[in-house]
Amino acid sequence: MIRAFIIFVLFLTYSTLAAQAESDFQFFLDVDRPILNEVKKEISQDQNELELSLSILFGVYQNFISSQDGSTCSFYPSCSKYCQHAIRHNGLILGGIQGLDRLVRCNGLSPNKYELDLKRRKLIDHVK
Amino acid sequence: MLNKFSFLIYFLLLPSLTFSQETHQIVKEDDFAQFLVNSQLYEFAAEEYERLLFLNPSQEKYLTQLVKCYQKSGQAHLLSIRLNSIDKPNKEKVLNRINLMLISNQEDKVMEFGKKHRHFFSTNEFEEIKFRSALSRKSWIEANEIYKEQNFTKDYSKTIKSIQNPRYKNPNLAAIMSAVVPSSGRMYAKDFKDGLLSLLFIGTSGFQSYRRFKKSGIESAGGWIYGGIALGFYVSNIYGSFQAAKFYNKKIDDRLYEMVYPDIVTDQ
Repeated sequence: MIRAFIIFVLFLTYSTLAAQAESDFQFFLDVDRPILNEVKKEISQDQNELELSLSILFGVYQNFISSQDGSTCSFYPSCSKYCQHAIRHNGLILGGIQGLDRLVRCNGLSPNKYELDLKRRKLIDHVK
Repeated sequence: MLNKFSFLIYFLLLPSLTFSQETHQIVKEDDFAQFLVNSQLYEFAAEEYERLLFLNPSQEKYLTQLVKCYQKSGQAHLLSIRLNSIDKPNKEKVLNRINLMLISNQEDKVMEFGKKHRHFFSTNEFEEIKFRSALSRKSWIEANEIYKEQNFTKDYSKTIKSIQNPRYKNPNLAAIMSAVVPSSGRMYAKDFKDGLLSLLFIGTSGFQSYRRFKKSGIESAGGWIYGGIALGFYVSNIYGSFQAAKFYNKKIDDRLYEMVYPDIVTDQ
């Protein structure tokens, strides 16, 4: 009798659950998510082995680590992508310094310093 | 026979009663272009204004609208071509073009264009164009020097007062300050929030490194790792302070530009 009751309650519980609607995760689809094709595109722009290995490392980070906690970076492009671009444009030393500086600035405390991307709800900061 | 004849007469007369739709009437095109501007369809509006200018080249108001549309749709190359090509130039037209160049981020082309049509202006008028061009390029020192040498008919004393001795921050000094005391350069550039966070990053990683070296001596791997991170943040903070000072100066320039803007776009 108790078993039947438990089964009945569990059955009712399942009936109250709703499947995740598309609108629930639309925000996560809209944000800047690294996808394999994008990583391939980034890799194709690399000109030497160092850039290639860094691109692969950043790609692994973006796809397997950073992607797990959604989009938490204040900026567009994200800090890892910014760092990647900075190293590609200005070399390992200056690019690395720019990347670390960006990590410090990624706090969302000074939004008035940057332009706002309304679609992504992010502050715009590209490599100069 | 009579029926056929009457039908024929009827169909021959019918077209004389009809009239074509006047889609290319200038007033209607003007309204339509304005509608496109209001709808923020600047590329299409630019096409309409190009057509209106072709039909009515003497109307400079269409050119003003066209320039705005090209600017808002980001077609700078077309804007430049449009402003540089001038048909039957006269003083009024040239001045209008110069005004449009000054307000549409084409400041670098103003002097080239002005020199090309130098014969329309007296020396004083040409110097005034140079002065306004310097203001639009945010070259405050140059504008000051031109103003000192000339006696303009218009009173620019308020503008000159505002652009004299802008309180810039020295980026090199900011970098040196951050090298001596981390984050002090950022504070000097009035970037307090990033400065505090930067100090926190350097301080915590530096302290961790110190703690590990103290505990396990020079062979501590953690000490070297944290030390490396602290060094990275320290160097990046020097770079960040330099950039913060540059950003501060840019903000000052932008504020001054807003103040002198009415004098840049003035009609002479």
